[in-house]
Amino acid sequence: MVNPILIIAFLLLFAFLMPLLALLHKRLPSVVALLLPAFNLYVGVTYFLKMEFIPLIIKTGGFRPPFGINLAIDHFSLFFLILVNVVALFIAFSYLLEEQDYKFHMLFLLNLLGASGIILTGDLFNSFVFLEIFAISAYALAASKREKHALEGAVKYLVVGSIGSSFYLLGVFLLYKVTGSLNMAFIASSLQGEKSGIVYLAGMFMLFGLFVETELFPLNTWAPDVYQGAYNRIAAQFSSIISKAAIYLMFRIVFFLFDDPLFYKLLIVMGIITFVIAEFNALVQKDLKRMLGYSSIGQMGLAVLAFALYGITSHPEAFFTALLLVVNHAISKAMIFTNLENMPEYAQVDTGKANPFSSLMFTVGALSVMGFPFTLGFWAKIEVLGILLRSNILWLFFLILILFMVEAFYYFRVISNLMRSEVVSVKLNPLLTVSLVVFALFLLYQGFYPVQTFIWTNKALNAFLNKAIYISTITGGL
Amino acid sequence: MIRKFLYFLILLAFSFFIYAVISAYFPFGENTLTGVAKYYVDNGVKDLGGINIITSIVTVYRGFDTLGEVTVLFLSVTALAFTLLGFKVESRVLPDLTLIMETGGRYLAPLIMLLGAYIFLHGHLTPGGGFPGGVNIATAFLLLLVTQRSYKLRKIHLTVTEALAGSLYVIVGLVGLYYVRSFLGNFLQTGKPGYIVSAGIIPIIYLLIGFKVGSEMTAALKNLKEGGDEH
Repeated sequence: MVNPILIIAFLLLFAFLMPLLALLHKRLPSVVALLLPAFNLYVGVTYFLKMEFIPLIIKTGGFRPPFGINLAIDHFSLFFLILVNVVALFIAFSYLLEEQDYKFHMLFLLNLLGASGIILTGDLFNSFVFLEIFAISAYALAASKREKHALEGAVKYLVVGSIGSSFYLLGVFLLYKVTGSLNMAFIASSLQGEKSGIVYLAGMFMLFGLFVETELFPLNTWAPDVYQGAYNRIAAQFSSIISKAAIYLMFRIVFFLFDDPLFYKLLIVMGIITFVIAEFNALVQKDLKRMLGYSSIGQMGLAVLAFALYGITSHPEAFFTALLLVVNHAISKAMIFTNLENMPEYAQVDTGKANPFSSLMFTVGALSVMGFPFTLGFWAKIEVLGILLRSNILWLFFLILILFMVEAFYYFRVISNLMRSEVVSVKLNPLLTVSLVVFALFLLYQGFYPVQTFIWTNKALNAFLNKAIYISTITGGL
Repeated sequence: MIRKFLYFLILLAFSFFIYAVISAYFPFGENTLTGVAKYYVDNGVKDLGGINIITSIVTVYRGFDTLGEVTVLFLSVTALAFTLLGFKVESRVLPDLTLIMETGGRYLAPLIMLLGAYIFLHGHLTPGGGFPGGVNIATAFLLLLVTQRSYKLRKIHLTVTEALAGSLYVIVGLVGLYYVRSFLGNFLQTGKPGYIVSAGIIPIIYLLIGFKVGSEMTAALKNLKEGGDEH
């Protein structure tokens, strides 16, 4: 099998070579931008199917952890790697024919590099380095349209993101000072048991830093402007790659390093606030992309809430739900945002024209986000309610039920307008059409028969919950 | 005015809080090394043959991070060029250059470049290394851009240097992966500590970082002077 470090090495190598490739042939960068996610996906899937339950350790620099940096790969990280690269492949494929400027492809690859690095690394400072790569490329991508909203969003994101990254770094520094190591497994093993106040402070700083990319309240003010102003493919990238890699890191850090009720309670409160604010804001938006942006924020809040419920109720289903929500959101939002390309005259919520195919694709994606029966989203959303009922948290059950209705209301408003709107003929991009149909079929098929998704999610869940094996494999020497 | 004052107060309170926490938990002046830091100081010279321990940590023990940091710099410069694209900067009129400035710049720049090269070539022996050496070289180009009226820096040269230095860095890592089964692992003999040819791959990596950082920073300066260029 291929060494997984080649994922990072190849992404870097080709990102550096991009200007020269562009000189050789104008089309070459877009082909490379398609081939690399496909390669990553191949590596991810083969490892996911063949790997044993023990995490795989890849050394760098020739030194064993904690002296050198290592990649630590288990089914949980592979699950996110596959998810992110499926979406990346989809985005690259659907824009293969259109994008000419090699800088877009370069930034896209570097963004993917940051996301993959965060997911694969087992080292805390290394995760900060990849977080930086991933955030800086995101700032540039957010500004790429050079319009009022895009620039406003990008500047807000730049300021908030830099503050967030600094806090994350400060947290890493404090943990290094306490434990004398930067390796996640070593830190986790020395933080088991009693924690001093400084560990809590470090954890708060790191979480605060990650709130920016996971679009949690109060650090998500940049998100609506970015979603509204950026190109559609970049909005898809924000909602399906950037926030997914960040939420991976948040889950990993909270559960592996700290695993403390205080953090779970904080995440529950922040998740609820984010979800409530986002859904009611989405309800009053006039601009379609802004509405979808608020809906993305809401979904992220819900996923974090579901994850944190695991810490309070210790139902593994809660965490399972969080993973399902993440998958559903990544796939359906990537679909919705890239499909907007086919609906050029549909900028407002209540007016506009669209053609039947793009209306259908929007509807499938929207139904899955809402959790309508016979879509993948249904299983995710019904599980959230089920857990709340089983653990007898009724007030939250009713609150979330109401918010689901609010969500359904504003999506159905758009769908009903789509039904009534004038039909226009838009020149459909064939590659985009094919990839949209594949995603739509996936969502519907998994809605009827969700066994595959459940098996894969379960495998990831088992790897995640057995953190004792993860820690002992890495700290036990090689 | 009152708002600025409030922001300043909040910032001050926060800085004080951080300072208080850190100094309460980790008092200054206790120089006992623990954890990985102790290992690096004890075994650095033996493992890698570089007498500058910091260099060994930066390029080999945590070489993967350094590769990431080089990428961050590359990315920032690309992002700068990308955001400036389409914003035409009107060519600024340079202030009146005197003969002394023009001649001085012309003779000083090669010397500064030489110093930069010295810094990154001796990275494993003396303080310094690829990053400061590269920045030094970029300052020489800044001097040329500011003092020489007819000086033109060709974009293609910078692009090729950037791309080659960056990709060779990754290739050095891949060679390590092939020979010692570890990305960025040291596949050369460590040699006699203290000599210029020693410390395995560290001088090679610093050479590449020097070229990479020098060309990146120069490209950033060029972009800021002339605006983003299309091609």
